[in-house]
Amino acid sequence: MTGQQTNTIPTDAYVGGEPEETEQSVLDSVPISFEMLLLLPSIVTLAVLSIIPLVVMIYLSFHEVNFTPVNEVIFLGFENYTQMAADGNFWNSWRVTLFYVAGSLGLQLGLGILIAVMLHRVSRGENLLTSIIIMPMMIAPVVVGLLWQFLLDPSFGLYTYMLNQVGLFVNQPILANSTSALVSIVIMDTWQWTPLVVLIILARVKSIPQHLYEAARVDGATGITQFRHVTLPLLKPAIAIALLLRSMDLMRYFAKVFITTGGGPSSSTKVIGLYVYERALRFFNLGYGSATGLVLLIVTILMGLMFVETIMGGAGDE
Amino acid sequence: MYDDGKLCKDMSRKTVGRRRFLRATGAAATVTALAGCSGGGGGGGGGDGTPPGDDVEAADSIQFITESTAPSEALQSIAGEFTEETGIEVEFTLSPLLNYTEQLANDLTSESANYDAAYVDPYNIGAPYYTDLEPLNGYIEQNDYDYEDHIEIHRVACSEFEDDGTIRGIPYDCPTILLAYRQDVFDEYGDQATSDLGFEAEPNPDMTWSQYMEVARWITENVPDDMVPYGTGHMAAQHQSLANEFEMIQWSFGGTQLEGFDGKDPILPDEVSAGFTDDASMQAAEFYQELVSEVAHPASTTWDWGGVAQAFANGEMAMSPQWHENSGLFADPESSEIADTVRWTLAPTGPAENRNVQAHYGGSSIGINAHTSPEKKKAAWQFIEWATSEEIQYRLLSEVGGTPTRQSVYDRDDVQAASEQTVGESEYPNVAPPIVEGWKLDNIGQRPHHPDWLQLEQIIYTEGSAMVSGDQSAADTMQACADGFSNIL
Repeated sequence: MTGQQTNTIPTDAYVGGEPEETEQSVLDSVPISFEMLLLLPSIVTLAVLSIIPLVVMIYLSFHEVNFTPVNEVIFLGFENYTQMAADGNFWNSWRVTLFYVAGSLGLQLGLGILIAVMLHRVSRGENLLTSIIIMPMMIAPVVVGLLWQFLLDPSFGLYTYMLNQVGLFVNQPILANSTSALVSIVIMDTWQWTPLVVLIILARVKSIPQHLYEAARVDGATGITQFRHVTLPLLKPAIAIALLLRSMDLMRYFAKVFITTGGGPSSSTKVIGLYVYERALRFFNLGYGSATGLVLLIVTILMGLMFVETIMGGAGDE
Repeated sequence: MYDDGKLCKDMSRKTVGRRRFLRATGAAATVTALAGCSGGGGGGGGGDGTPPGDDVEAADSIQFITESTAPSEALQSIAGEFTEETGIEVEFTLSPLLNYTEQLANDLTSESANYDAAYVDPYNIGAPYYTDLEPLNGYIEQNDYDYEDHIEIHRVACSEFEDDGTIRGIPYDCPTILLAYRQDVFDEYGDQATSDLGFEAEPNPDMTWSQYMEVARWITENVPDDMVPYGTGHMAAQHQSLANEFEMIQWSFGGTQLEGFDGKDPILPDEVSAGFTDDASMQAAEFYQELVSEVAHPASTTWDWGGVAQAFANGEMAMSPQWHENSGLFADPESSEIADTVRWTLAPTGPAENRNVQAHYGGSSIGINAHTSPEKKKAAWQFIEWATSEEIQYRLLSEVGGTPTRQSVYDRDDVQAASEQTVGESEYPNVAPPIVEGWKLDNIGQRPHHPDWLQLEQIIYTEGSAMVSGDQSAADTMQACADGFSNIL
């Protein structure tokens, strides 16, 4: 049929000029694919915002860069890194960060799951309760720091007053003691960011099919057993996401410590983020600051990978 | 700062001029910075100190960066008058101390000249970046500026950073640590304390630090809490404030942070080494540890200079070393419960035989960015002349509690009268403290002009915080400070 139709066209009929085989569209002349062209703005933006600063940071980490009248940029090789390895303050900051991250993650996750599950069981006013619970998350970290500093003030702080009434922290300001200051910043962050964990977990809890619980009940499962064998396993992907988001954020923790304790007393709250800031931006020791920042970046990436691989595992693939 | 060994080591390394490096990395960052780079554009001749000639017309606008202090905020509010007089607009950038330091340091070292005139903190900016500030000797001479009217200490402490007489900033404002106390407490219990202790209990210029501690302890133990809970309170948080307070005590005990530096002459020799391990520093550390951790208000270790000022205003302690610029806060009945009772005197004396330190210097100047254009420099100088003039200093004192640096302001009748009154009565609470007495070279203590002082001082307050928190002995603290200083030096 097709061949017949082709044959009906007279061979001498004018069908327009033959297209020039060498002619190309403008897009064809660009030496990259159309898809790459579409991606280019994103790549350029990413390069400017992330890749170039990262490369500069790596470069700086191998140099001594100190903005004083007599200093030059000096290539040091790995000297910043060896100095870091021997720097007691650096390791102290990591110890503080480890306690802080572990403590905050544990509390936020535990409370987050508990509150989310309880919230799911509320039949009336759930939206109102959820709105109230997520309020702290909407406050700027600096304001949270100022608020808690006020609440913990040894002279007029409400929480100090309440603790004093039960015989705690009398003549011992909460933020003046190494242990209680560190616990305080863990609580501050828990207060602010547990709501995020609640939201993540709550979304997952709501998606668990009710028939699983019905089946469990038929099998004689109690509430706790249902939670342990139905709810918790199905929350695994959400828990991994919450851990990932919160851990990355906690590693970069800075504002509330900066406002409330400044890293003290006795450097007991000097988290690694504050340490990096001091070296790089307060003392303009950019080489050493970059090296410590790079280590922080690597640790954060490794921790994220660990959470994704070990906790999330294949659960997110379903 | 370089010793021979380090110099040789440095020469063997591959080096790149910091400015060349900054330009190179700056080029990489140009894409991001392009939108924000709108400043003077450099080309100012790199600060050879020759003022722009008559052929140069002053720019019609300049950028001024300053720490957000009350006098600077007031200066901003009246800067319109300067614009009316000269046609030069001044755009202010006010930031807290650390942010201001970061912004200005970045601007100076990159030579981008976004700021034409700058508030110069002598320790955070002046000492490390003085080469980026325009020498002003030529400007002073060319314009017959009355530089000598600025009281000597300010010319020594915040204008010069080399030992060749080059002036890099014109004195502008000067907070000073002195001793504040509550007269009502001593009116009621002073005689009893004097009788019990065997010396004059009310703070006075002859009081020693050990007497001070005894009086503080006596007040805590004997004066009812509803009058005042504690004898003394301190700015002993892990903050620059702790370093400032301890430095003053260390100098008065005869100790030092840097060998050969006595808290008097800020210009250091080329070769300096860490101090702290001398007997006097050890004694000062032991004293400070006992004072803060055993005698003072327990919240002292959470207070920086702002915190301890508010606590004093709230009536939490009877005596306290304070930056005198808080006098206005104490005098204001809306923010202070003790407005009528505050008195000031010099800080106590120490046992040092070779020096006397009873005040701590905290002044600042205004300078010109050496990398800005000649037109901007000319305009910036006119602004500095205006901002540091007798008339404007007087207005800043009378309207917001600035601290004039010019002798002529203190010679005015009404200022003299105000300086002899109490804080509550004085028309100008900032001159009620004996600042002029404190600024005498015999009484003042000041930090050195070392380019790394900000970092060195951090060692003092980090280790000092461990000491006053009871986590570290005084001897270990001084050794840790010495080690930390040695690492940086």
